[in-house]
Amino acid sequence: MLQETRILMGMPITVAIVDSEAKQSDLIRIFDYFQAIDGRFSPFKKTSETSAVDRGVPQRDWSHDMKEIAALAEKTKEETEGYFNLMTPDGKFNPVGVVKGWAIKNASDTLRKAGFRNFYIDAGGDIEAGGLNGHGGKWSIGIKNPFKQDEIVRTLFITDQGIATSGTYIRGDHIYDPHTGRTEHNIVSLTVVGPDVCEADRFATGAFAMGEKGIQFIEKTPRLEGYMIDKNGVATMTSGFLKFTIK
Amino acid sequence: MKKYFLSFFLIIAFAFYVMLENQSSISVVLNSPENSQPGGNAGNPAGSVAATVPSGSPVSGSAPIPSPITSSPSTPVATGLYRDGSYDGGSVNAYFGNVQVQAVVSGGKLTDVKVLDYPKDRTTSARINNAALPKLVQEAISSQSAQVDIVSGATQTSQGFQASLTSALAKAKS
Repeated sequence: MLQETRILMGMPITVAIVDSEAKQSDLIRIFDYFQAIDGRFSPFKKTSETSAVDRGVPQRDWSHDMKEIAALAEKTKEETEGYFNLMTPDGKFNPVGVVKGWAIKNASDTLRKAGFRNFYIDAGGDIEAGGLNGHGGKWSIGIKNPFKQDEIVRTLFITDQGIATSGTYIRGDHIYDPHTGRTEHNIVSLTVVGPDVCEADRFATGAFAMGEKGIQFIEKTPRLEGYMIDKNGVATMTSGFLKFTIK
Repeated sequence: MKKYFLSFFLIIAFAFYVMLENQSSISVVLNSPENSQPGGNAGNPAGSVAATVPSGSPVSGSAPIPSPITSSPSTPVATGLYRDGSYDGGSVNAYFGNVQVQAVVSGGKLTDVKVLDYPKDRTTSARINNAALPKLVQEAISSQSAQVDIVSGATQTSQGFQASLTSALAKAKS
């Protein structure tokens, strides 16, 4: 298996291809793509298009990608009862919440178009798993213990699916919500499995912001399963979740 | 003697200025011959991969560590292939706790980043809350020792993370 990790967009990104015809250049193409996405969408780079949009560049001058991201964000906001929001509390435009899953999905489609069937792309814990692993089995994915970073609490087996986890850090007795900066709810981590990583990611983000009722939202959304962990270490799972725990 | 003090003061002042200038982003440039290829983004040197980390900024459902940590900006952490092995980064103060990561190098390349320590001040205490969500199955989480292909968790994005990784990769330099 050809595999490499690089630090891009402020997180480790791993690309792994099982298919024997994979070459180093196939990995590099994917990393170049993530680098280009970072350059375009980073809200922290003054030269990025995100910064330009924030400064008020009119919609007709946006790139195709930016329009696609904005449309996907709007769709997600509607689908998650307004919980998914690309505006930060201080009124800045921040599309990062939807860009990561979207970019992993696009990168995965690039690999598929190149003829690869068995691979995964992991960007900061959000994963698209294509086909089978190096041993011919489904990809095994551990859900990280939010209280002990080197431990996992559940193992899932997926193939041609995506998985994403939204979470918080615990600071004292407070849960710090990265979206609002406020102490809002008791949920520490929400993992969502979906038909692809883009779906898993945007719904994990949106449902996480709902707090405890987020898992109910995942339950009633077709094609999604979820595993939510609260600050007491109690997990709540959707009714179809356990099927992913079987090899 | 005075001269030495003056020189020392100037160096510190300059370092502080550089840190201030770069507080909003730290770049880690991973550059190895195998990775080198022309093209890439405008603004980045060809053949290098730059990762810019915002200061405590969330990426999609991420877990930011609002950290005042700064480290030398735009420092190439490696210019050749890394030596195989696992390298622990320094434990970096990330404002409300320490962050320490381990870089795993295989075949001369970075293949994994493990988080050895992160801010936490409580242990897992399981308590079933029967009042919540009666329809869905609940369980107390417990750690598994299973080997897995990949781990899904909230994104580690912070300057503390980056600073620890930079020190780990410096050790892996050949």
